[in-house]
Amino acid sequence: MRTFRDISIRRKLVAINMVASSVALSLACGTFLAYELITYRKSVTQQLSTAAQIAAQGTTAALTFEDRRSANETLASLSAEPNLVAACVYTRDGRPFAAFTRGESRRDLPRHPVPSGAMFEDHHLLYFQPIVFDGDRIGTIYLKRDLRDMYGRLERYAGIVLGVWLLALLAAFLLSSRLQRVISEPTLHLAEMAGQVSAGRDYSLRAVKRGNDEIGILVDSFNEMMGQIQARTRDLDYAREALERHVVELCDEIASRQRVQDELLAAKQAAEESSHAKSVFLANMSHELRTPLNAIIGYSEMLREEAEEAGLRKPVPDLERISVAGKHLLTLINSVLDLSKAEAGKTELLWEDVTVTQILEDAAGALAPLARQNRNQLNMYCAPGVGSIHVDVVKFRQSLYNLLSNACKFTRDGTVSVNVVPVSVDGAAYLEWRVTDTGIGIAPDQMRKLFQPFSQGDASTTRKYGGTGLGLAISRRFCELMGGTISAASEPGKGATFTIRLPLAGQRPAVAAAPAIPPPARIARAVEPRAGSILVVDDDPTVHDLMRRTLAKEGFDVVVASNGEEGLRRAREIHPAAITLDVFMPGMDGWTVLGALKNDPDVAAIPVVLVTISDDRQRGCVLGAAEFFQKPVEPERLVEALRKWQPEWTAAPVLVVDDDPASREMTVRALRRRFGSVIEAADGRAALTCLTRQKPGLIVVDLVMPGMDGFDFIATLRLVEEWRRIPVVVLTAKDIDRDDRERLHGLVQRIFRKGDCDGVGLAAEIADLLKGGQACAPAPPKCLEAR
Amino acid sequence: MGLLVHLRGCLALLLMAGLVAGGDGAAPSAGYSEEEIKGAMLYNFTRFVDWPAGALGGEGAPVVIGVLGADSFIPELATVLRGKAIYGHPVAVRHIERIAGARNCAVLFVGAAGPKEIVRVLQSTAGAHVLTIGDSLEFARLGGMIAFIRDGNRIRFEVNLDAAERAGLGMSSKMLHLATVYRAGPARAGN
Repeated sequence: MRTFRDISIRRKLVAINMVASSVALSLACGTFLAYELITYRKSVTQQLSTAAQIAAQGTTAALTFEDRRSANETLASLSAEPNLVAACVYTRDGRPFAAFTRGESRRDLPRHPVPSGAMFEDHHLLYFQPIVFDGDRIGTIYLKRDLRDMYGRLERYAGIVLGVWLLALLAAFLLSSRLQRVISEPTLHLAEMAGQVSAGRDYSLRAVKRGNDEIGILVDSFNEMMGQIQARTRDLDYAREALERHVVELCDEIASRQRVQDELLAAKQAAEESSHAKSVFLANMSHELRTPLNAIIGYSEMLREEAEEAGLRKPVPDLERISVAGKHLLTLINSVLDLSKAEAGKTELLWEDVTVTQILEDAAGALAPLARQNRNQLNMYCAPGVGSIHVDVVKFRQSLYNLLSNACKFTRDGTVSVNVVPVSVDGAAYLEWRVTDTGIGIAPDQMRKLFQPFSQGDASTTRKYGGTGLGLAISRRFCELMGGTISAASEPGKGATFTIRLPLAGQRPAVAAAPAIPPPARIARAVEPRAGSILVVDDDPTVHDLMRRTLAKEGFDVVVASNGEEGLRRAREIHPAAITLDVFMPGMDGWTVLGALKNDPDVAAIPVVLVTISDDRQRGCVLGAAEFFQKPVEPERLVEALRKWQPEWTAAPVLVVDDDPASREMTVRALRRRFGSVIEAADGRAALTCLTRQKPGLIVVDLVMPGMDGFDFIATLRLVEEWRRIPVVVLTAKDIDRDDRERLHGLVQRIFRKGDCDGVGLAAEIADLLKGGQACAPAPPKCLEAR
Repeated sequence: MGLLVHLRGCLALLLMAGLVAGGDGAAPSAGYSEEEIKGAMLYNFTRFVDWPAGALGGEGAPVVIGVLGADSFIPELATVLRGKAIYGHPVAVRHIERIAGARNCAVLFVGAAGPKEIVRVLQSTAGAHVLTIGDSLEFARLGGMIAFIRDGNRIRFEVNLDAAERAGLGMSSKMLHLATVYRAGPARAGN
């Protein structure tokens, strides 16, 4: 619906005129009519009031004396007035007293009078007038007058007024219709122009001016505005064209960037996928490669031993080569996995406190054979006041051993020394481990590549000195992970110094440190090893070596002492099952030692076997020797003699749980030598069934198995009270990560990685563990590197 | 391994569903051994039985499930119970070698045995809050609380309510709904 605002200005002007005229006329007519009405009403009321007063006067007495007839007559006299239709007199208490009516029923009279005054009601005027007598109201008179005559006149007036009103409006309409053009036409012209411009975008149009009034000014302004718009539109068009060109260029650029971004995203995704694939691959590799290699190494060693025992000399060197090559391969695999893990940021650190002395002692023990090989002297020095350090012990040891083994390898008839000194750099406290040798040194051009993977001095170095070329790279990674550094300095021909610098306790590296998980609780002595330990007292190191080899193979623990004093001390410490004693030793000789042993009630019961070049059997027997062997000794006879004093193996068998038959068989064989009875199971479920038949004294379990795996098996095992105390040793090719460690925490006694210990070593370490002794130190890493 | 754990979880659920809804008992033919099913049922019994306050020990104290005369049941039971808890308590399975040790369990499983043996075992646990479960047909009639019974191909159970009441143990009506209920005196059968 169109509102007033929307209609044309022409009609608007007419409408405005009409509205104004009609309002003015209406006001005039209305006022006239109203005035007429009011004036007329006033005069009528006045007339009636006068009549009422007269009647009141006339009826006062009649009321007073209650003369109805008189009252009626007075009222009847009012009938002279033709418009009066009813009259009535009421008593003081409001009862009708006398009445007169004309043309209407008496019943229509008001029953009671109302307070005085005039009332217009339905074409009649009603009038109540009190009748007062002597200041006392004695009654009321009521008059009713017909007003039809008055309204008739008013209607006639109204008709005339309406006629005038219409005529006047018609005149106004005609006039305004003609006169409005003066204003509307220029306006409409302007509007038309504006419409054309906006429809046609033709900014060259101009409006025509007709006068100098406001509309003329408006036209001027409009035309001027049009001129400006025309100019601006032109400028705008130029600018737009430039912008469009620019936008096209931008779009091209955005598209190309989007392409690059997509490519980058795809590349990132591919990289992440390959990183994940690499992690998975590494985890699988570690298990899948180590399992068969473990079997290769283990069986070649067994074969070699068996060949030696059977007197077959010929295959021994070949078997040794297989074993050595296998070990080298295992070392290489371990190193590559270590390095890959470090490169991928997957290395987990296990922080522990360890004393510097402990580390140095272990290092001296582990590296002594290698140092001896090249006739090097090994010196360890620790600055006073250096207590313990907070490191990942295994990784630190691996780094340090690597430096030491390098030093030993590249030095002949020289000195290899370790100096541990605290230093302060930029206010931070560090501990420096300097490994110095007097060997061949490193050429300057090799120095740069020193810590790069696979960068031994040159290819010939590998052949001559062995090693994988990864050790230093791994060491550097490990040291950096622990918040430290590793550096090298050398003068070719004069030796080299490698320095590991680690922050002292209290300083944590930026790398999130794994919460240290305490080592599994030591278990109570649950199983006695089948063979007790044998103390070998001899000043000749070759005898130590020989005895160790002969006896360890038979399942004995061998402890050696190089002289009489040490022998006595060790005997009191460890209470061995038996002692083999040489007689001719520098310092305290064997006779003295034997006497001292037999006079000490604490150790007197330990059988002593004399193994000597002396033939004084008599003297030995007198002094209390249990057996006497003259060197050279046949190993079988010695073993036979020592067996007599082996403690009885009374405990239950060892249960080996492994799904890989070759691995299992190897473990079984290695353990059978030492622990006697061994039972086996291929998975957790089978192992549980075995348990119900026979309770073992020890369980060796692999983690990765089909069906019920090692984790579930161990968890189930620990639910049953009877089995809860059975020691469990994990032997797995799986790389143990933090999650695994947490799952197994408190449930197993030890975790061994396949290939880290050979069969005899494993058996020995397990025996050691079961005795509640020092849990074996992690085997020295076998990745002894070359530079 | 994950799959296996999942299967075990399903087994427990399956048996629960069976207990609550069907009452048909469990069929050993569903790919699980009879012992596995009995293990799962045993665990479910513990969830429908109320021990008196404090009878299961303080917080963290293990609920001991004793196994008497059914050594081969131990691995199955331990496998079913791995990772489970009973009223928030960890679970321990105990191999009971001598009857005297039976009193100290919360649950006692007695393997198939003769009436004299059963009576002796039940005498030893009399007055203790021990839920006795037996693998003999007449176990409940001899005073045990729950007996596994075979019904054709299915394993069902019979409950001796008097015995449970004497030991102060409450049994959920949901469970009784599925059981054959034995009462001394005028015997009446549950549904």
